[in-house]
Amino acid sequence: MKLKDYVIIGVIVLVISAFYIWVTYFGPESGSIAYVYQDNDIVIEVNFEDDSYVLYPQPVDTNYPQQTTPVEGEGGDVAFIILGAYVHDGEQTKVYIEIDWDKKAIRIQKDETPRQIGVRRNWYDGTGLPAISLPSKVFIVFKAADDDGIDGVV
Amino acid sequence: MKDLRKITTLSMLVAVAIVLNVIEISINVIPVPGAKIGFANIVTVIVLYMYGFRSASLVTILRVFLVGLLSRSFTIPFWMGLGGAVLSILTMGILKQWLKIHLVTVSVLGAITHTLGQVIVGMYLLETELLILYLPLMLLISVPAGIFIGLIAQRFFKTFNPNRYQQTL
Repeated sequence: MKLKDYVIIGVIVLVISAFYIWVTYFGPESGSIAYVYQDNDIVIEVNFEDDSYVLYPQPVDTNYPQQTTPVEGEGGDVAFIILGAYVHDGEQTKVYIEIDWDKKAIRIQKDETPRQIGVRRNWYDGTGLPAISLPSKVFIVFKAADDDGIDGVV
Repeated sequence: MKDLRKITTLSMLVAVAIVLNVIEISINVIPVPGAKIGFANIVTVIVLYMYGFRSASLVTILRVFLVGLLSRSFTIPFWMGLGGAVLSILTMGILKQWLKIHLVTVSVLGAITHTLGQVIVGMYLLETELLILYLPLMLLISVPAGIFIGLIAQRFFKTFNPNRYQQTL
């Protein structure tokens, strides 16, 4: 490798590090309302200020979201099932969403995609890497109560 | 005869790339959904330096589609992988042709554009900028991954094809 190769790689590392610091410290501000999106439609709105939620019927099947029982011992207080975009054996797979009022956090507890590729299921309180299921086209965004922007994530 | 030898070699390299890709999917080494480091890019880099841009593009796109077929999964992660692979091979092809830089540097820039391609396609399909939050972490992982892939490819040439090894320096 020549000097210019080291310079190119060094500059790349510096730029990426600056980007990382910028996103980490000056990234999106977290809010108290979590929106669960499926296929770019809001299906669940969770308000952590007064521990309330609103369900919006899914266009693909208005019987969803459905309330279900949270997994015992993992902190979840309320759980819902929504229909994801992934089709397995001719049926749309389900995605399980859980809310923990104490932690003011929400997670994708599980989804029924076979290999869980592109799924991040950790508890999410609006900071750090967001919860997402790419095959199900489900993601969760936190916004402030007075923020009326829908796609203003960054 | 020469073509037959090339076709056979490329077929074997596609097979190696598929195996690397499948292993990578199953071990899921980075905490970013749907994203891969791109170990299969080792094969892309080797083919790029052995047979040129057209063969490398063919091997890469074949590999992505065959892995999609094998896993019967043509969902968002598949399209992200395809987007990353196409952007990566285009970048590496251009850099190799026009900028006389080292194979490892080409590999690093290929890994970075692979990541960028994945995120751009993911953002387009999900219709949200949310995935950009994953980008810095993915890019930080891309640099050592690109160096690693480049060093393996270089080692390959040093061991099996010393004439080509000179062209990678």
